[in-house]
Amino acid sequence: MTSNPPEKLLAAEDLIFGHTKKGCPPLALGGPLDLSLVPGELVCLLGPNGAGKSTLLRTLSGFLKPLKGSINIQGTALGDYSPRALARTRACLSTREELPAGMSAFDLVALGRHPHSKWTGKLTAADHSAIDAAFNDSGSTAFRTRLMEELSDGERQRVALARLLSQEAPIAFLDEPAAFLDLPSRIEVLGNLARIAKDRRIAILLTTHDLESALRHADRLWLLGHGGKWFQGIPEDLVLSGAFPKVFSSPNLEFNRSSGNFEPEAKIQNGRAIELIGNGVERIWTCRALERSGWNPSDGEEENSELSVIIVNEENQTLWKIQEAGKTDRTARSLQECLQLLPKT
Amino acid sequence: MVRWISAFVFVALFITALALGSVPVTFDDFFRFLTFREPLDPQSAFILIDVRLPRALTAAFAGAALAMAGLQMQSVFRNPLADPYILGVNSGASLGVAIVMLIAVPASQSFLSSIDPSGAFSLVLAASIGAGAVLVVILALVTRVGVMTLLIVGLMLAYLINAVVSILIFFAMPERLQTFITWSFGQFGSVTWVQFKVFAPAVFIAVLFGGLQFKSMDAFLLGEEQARALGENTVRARVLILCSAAILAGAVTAFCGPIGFLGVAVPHLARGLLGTRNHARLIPLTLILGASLALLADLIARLPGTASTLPVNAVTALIGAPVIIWVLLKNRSTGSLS
Repeated sequence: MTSNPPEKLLAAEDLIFGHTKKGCPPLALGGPLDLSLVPGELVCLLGPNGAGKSTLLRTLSGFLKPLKGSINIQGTALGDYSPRALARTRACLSTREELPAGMSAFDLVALGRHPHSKWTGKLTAADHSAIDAAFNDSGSTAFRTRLMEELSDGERQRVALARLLSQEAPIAFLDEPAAFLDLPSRIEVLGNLARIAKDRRIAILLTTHDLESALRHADRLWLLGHGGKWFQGIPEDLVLSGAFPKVFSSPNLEFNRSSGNFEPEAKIQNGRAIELIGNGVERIWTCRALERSGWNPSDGEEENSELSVIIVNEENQTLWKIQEAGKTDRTARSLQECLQLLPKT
Repeated sequence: MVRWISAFVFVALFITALALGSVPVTFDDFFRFLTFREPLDPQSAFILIDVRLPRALTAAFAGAALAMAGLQMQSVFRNPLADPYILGVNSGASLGVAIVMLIAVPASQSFLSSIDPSGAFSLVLAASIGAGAVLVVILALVTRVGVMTLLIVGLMLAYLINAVVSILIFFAMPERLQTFITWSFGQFGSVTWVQFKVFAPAVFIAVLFGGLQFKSMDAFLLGEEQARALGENTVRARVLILCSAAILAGAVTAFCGPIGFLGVAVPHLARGLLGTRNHARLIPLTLILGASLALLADLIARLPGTASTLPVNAVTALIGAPVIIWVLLKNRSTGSLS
């Protein structure tokens, strides 16, 4: 191992990954790639469905053999690890796993100590402190004695995370940890993981579909598109370099570089012109509402506009004033009312 | 606490099994026997030592073995309804027995009788191989199909094997057939001391090396891939556990006939009583409960006070089938079976 910082926990060189099925030639999904994971970082692997995110994750976890290239974990080739030694080096979590009924949260988290305990499976003081810390860091101490099937999806996810942490592996792989969660828990998950990675000085690699959270919390992103298209870097660089539209190519969506999100392609060409006067957050949402209804709002530079909407902010209330040539002004108290008052497009 | 009560219930059932029977034994003789003294009446001595004791011991060992095999299969296949009988493992063992009883023995009597005079060992071996073969088929299917499909496949395997057995019966010699038919009703009472000396060690060894895999069985609860992620050598662990299950199901089937439903019912009972999935704690209770339930089933089958005997299989089905229905209904509501 080199002493040069940053010390690499995982290093893959010339890695080609894919499927091997009996009777078929191996199908490469991507590569050759040079990859690395360093302590304290959260890396999110993003890409469209079927691009091979899970395959790459499973290859790095040691469940699938790489088609070509090498994977080293802490300086030792992945293939040279015994199952037990590997389990002390990397922990894996998949949302697709189903738990049997009648298992308590503690039972599950204690299973994380499996690669550390002797054949008797007896938990030592060190095991207990690792379990306590895992419950604590994942915010699931309250569910310790509960049965897994009694917990909500979000709670179960936290306990599953505790199980991963109790394994005390320097590398953690998570396959879609945010799937099946409601919105608040989903936003929480990645933030928590970023914090845990830093606190514990471990590397966390996860796959997700949640672009927004990934852009906000990931230290680095790996983008994998169909046909092995590959980009890696810190989120902001990838946004600015236009990597996202290349990976998530879709005819009806457009990547908005300022919001970092995919949005339906603007219907500017065929929308009917309307002047919009006003600014602030109200302007953004008024714009959206108008665009969806087939309007093409403009800045209000032109002098003689036939139709205009003016946003008026009056003591704790927002009003929309509609001015139309040859008609009296109308006032709407909500955007819904405003859209109804506008003439048909 | 649960364990002490179960142990007490087991001892009580064991003593009851010794005390009750079609031929009455005086209390004085029974008490002398319990305190390891020779009963005064030689007939009582014969009944207690050569009839009731091996029968009770066989029931206890068989019950413990089937319960253990059920627990092993439920954990490794991650299927709450796995059991040697339901998935056709017993049928595989029956085929082994049928081959030995109906065909092999006459052909190779001279050779086998020199190393295995009672025929007990070859019976266990053939039954275990038959059970193991079915387990291999199930293992090949278990990751590809759901819980329900696996049960149906198990049933079909059982039908298929039973059809083969029927064909064997059709061509069998009448005098061999009689032994086979008696065996196929399933009973604990036909095991002699000579056979018990093969049966007990087979069960003991299989329970021992299967039971020592308790830590791996815990890991299997999370599924094959997670077990591997936890550092489990899943291939080795699975082979060990299923070999143990094959020997357990094979040995019981070889000597007691096909006995169903104990294997599926007892693990659920043990989990319910202990409220855990931890196998280090589940295995001892499963063994004790299995032994107790088999003794109870045998007691009921013997219809104390009468001279007639019911097939044990009928009694175990009365206990076990409701458990399966209960599990199915319970799991349907949570949607974890599909």
